[in-house]
Amino acid sequence: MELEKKGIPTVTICTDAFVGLAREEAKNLGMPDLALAIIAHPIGGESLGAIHQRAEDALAQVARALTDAGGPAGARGAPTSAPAPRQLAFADDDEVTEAFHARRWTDGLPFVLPTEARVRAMVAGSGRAPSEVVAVLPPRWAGATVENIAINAVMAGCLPPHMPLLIAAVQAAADPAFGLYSVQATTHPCAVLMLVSGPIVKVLGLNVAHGALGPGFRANAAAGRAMRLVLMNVGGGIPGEGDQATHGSPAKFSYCIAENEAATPWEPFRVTRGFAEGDSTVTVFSGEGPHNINDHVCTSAYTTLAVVADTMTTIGHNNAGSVIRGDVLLVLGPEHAHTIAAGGLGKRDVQRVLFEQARNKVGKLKLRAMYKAENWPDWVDQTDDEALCPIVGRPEDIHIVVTGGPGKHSAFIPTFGTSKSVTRRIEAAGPR
Amino acid sequence: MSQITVLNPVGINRVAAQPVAPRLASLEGVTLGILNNGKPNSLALQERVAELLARQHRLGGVVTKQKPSAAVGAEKLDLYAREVGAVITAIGD
Repeated sequence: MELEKKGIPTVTICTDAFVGLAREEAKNLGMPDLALAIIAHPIGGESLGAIHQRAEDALAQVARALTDAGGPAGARGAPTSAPAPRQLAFADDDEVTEAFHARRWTDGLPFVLPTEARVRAMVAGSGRAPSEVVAVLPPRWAGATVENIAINAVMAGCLPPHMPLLIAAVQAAADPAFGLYSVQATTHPCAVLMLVSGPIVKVLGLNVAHGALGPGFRANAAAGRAMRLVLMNVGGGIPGEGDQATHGSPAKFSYCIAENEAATPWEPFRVTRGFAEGDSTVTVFSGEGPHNINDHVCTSAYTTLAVVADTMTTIGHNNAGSVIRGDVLLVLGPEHAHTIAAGGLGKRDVQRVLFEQARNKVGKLKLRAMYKAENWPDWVDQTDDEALCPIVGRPEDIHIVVTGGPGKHSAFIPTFGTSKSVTRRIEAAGPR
Repeated sequence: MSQITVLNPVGINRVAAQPVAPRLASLEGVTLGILNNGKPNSLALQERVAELLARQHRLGGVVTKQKPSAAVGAEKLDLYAREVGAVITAIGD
């Protein structure tokens, strides 16, 4: 699309499974007539003979699309999406519920009806004007207004004090470093994980003890769910449309966790990320669902970290192949964290040990798809099958947070791999 | 008679549509660009299309450019746009 804007005719070869996404994206970015040459899905894992057949199938379409013979006509000049009515009237509550589900405006669960009064109260919780656009969210590339966020927050079951957290999280997700377009549109099952650190954890009543990553707590569940509904209804991440995830993930229903600061033997997460002790922050990760790390026997820092490192080095997750453009999250249970800290290790020591130990052999990584395509550190010798490759480019890309209740469990959260986590300060709601 | 009014949760895209670039009169003498995203088999596919096009037209050459990854936009597109007359990109797995 950028090349078309520079006057260069282009054609995009597209497998038929991705035509819907390609056409939507072209329209949403203001070039509805972008030319496609459509071939059968898939191309990955196919023989060279099959690829050559796909090329034959694309040939005439490519030639036509680049020349006057059949290239796309000028833009239609119509607005890319017709303004939808702000208010919708229904006969009763049940009709609203059925209509919202039928229009794919929900996550499939019951929701709170976003009435004018509830939305007004939610907006007030932000201390901002309802029409303020706080971010632009792909793949729909829609401006997310405070009111848009408030409507989805009402549906999710949030309370007005959640609004500053949600706004900061939406802005963090829209940061270019996060790469939200790909996080939303990918076939990979990444969700948008919110990690909250600071005084707001107690204010909102976010759970940091038993079940810190699970259900049973309104503050976590509703905030995470609101983020998902914003990503779907404002950003257009609808499964099979703007969200091409093969399986998706239970993490896509709701994924909001918080730091257990009282149980943390090190500095708080936000301080490691460069914020002040008195700040409250939210960090977004393109997280997969958590993978458990069970270690009931280790009594030293290094043996515990050996178990952690082993869990981090399975080769199916994206960070194993896409190394330098991603980061990962390690959620330590308080007991594991204290075993490690008792060995005299600080957070940076832990990052360094894991950076050195959580490595895969080049020869093993060659078994996995896309290893050549992705991004390894320059110093890894790709010709030596015995050479070791880390899962991130730098020790500080292994982020560590302590949360949860008693027990000998931690969790590893791999990410999309081409996305960096982003932290934002949560601004207190001003008086209005 | 409607009894309940709720607000629409959907975000609105306000990007104005713009035209694509003018198309070429023909591919004769045109330097063809291949912008590759690194997905498995994608380069083999694009190169084969270019090879087949070159059998039908006297192309001015083929210039391949690699994106840093499928999820990252290409760099230095201004320079690339001066080198090529038309481009083949790809999307999908």
